Amino acid sequence: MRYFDIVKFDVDAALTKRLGYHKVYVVGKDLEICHGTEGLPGPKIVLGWDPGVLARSLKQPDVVGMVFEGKELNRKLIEKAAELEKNVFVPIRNLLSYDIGERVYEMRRVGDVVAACHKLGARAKLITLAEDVADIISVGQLKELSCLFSEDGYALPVFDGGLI
Amino acid sequence: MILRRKSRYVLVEVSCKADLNSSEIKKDVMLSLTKELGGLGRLRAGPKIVWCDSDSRFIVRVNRGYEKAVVLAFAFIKKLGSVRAGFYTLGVSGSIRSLIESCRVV
Repeated sequence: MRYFDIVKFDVDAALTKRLGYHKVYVVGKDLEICHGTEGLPGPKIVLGWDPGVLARSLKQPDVVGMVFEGKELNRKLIEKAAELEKNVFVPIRNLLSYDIGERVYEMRRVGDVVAACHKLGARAKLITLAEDVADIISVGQLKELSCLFSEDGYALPVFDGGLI
Repeated sequence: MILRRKSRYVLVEVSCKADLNSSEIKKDVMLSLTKELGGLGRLRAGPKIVWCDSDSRFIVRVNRGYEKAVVLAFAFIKKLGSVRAGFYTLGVSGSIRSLIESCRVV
């Protein structure tokens, strides 16, 4: 299987290979993160907490997926992502950098998102959205982390055709 | 009869350069690992640094069955001494030789 990740800093090819990824997408170079329907042409991830804005943005053809920043899960939004066959990216940077106490709550939040996506047929994908080399993890670590949320490796960021 | 305990070897790379042969750094890595695994988890896993290169890679020996926990624990460690650092596990194997061959170390 070929895995990918999305990060916010420039990763060299040697590190990408050592970590076991097929491709590490860099925000600002390979794709953009936008907060609505605005933005430059090209592949985009829409990020925000307003389900209405996110749902509208998902209809854009160049939006490859979304990152939901809100605390409460929105079932309709996940159903919309499933219907449009768009990715639901679940950033794990906070999960990795939080202290043990806060990590428990973040783990539950990520687990809830993954479980809801699994149930509703949406494509959840764990990404690091790392801001520096300390935040990124190897594929082996990502696999173990995804097993915490879904034993079948459902949330692993695997290429399934197209850009992502 | 005491049976020999089987081990697994985990190759780890640190994102920053550090003197991994120094006992203080090794102690710091083990303390961070204990924090993530818990005292009991560390006793069961029995991690031990068995090989270090000069700057950024080392091999940890763990008891078989606990290698997945150790791999995950390294993902949560974000500090080496006072420096922010990431720990990437590059491979897991049953012997140091096969680990070195599969990951092309040295």
